[in-house]
Amino acid sequence: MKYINPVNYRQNIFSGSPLRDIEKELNVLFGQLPTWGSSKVFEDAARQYPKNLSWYDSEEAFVAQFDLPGVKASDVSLEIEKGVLSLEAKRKSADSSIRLSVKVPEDVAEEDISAALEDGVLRLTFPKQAKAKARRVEVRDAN
Amino acid sequence: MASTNLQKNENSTVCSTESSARKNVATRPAYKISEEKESYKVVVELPGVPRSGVNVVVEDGNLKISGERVSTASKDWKRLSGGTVSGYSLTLSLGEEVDQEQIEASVENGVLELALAKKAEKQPRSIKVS
Repeated sequence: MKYINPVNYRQNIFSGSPLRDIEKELNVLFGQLPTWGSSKVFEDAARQYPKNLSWYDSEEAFVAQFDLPGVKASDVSLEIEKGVLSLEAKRKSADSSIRLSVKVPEDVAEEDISAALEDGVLRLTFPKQAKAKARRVEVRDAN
Repeated sequence: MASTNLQKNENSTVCSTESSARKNVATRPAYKISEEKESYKVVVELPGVPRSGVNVVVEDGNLKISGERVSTASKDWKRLSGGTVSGYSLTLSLGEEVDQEQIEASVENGVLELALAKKAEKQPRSIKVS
């Protein structure tokens, strides 16, 4: 597998763009710097949350995961109101805070929602209420 | 040194072929570079990559950063959406100012921080006026 290497296509993307000048400046500082593009992504990151959101369905719960790099568990606060979960996370390193809301799936036991943060990824677990779980119906012999 | 790295690359190719059921794409991570008096600071966002999974290699004047995301999702879970980023790869060329022997790296909460010391002769030097 060939990984996309920014060094390979930097010439094409930024030629003729205003970013080119900044890139040139950086090239002076850094020799051959790949691109300035990602740095902008970094700065704009707060606007793009939840970043890399994925949803899973385990038998017992719905699980949502998304990226919160640079955030400590103690800097995250969660609130659930009217079926919407609101999150606020402070990022000390970037000196910014992230605010986002996630709609709580239907038939979820709101009071049992839990959150865990590991390696900059937040996982929210929404346990299903009894009625939302798949139920096996036993077939009995009529006799 | 060179042959060891080549070996590593071959291994990762095999791995990605085996797990081709999942879209296996190394994304370019978000990063930020800032200059300090005696060093450059590079901050790279690598969410989902544990500390032990972060690779930083200096080779041919390039700084190569990579890491595979470790999925905490159980195999029994049904994926409804998302989850397409499986890893990160970033190559930065080091300028002549950077002392390649003095690169420090630390990882915390999915963020890699690198301190690239400037070569002694490139550092600002105050000259005494007599």
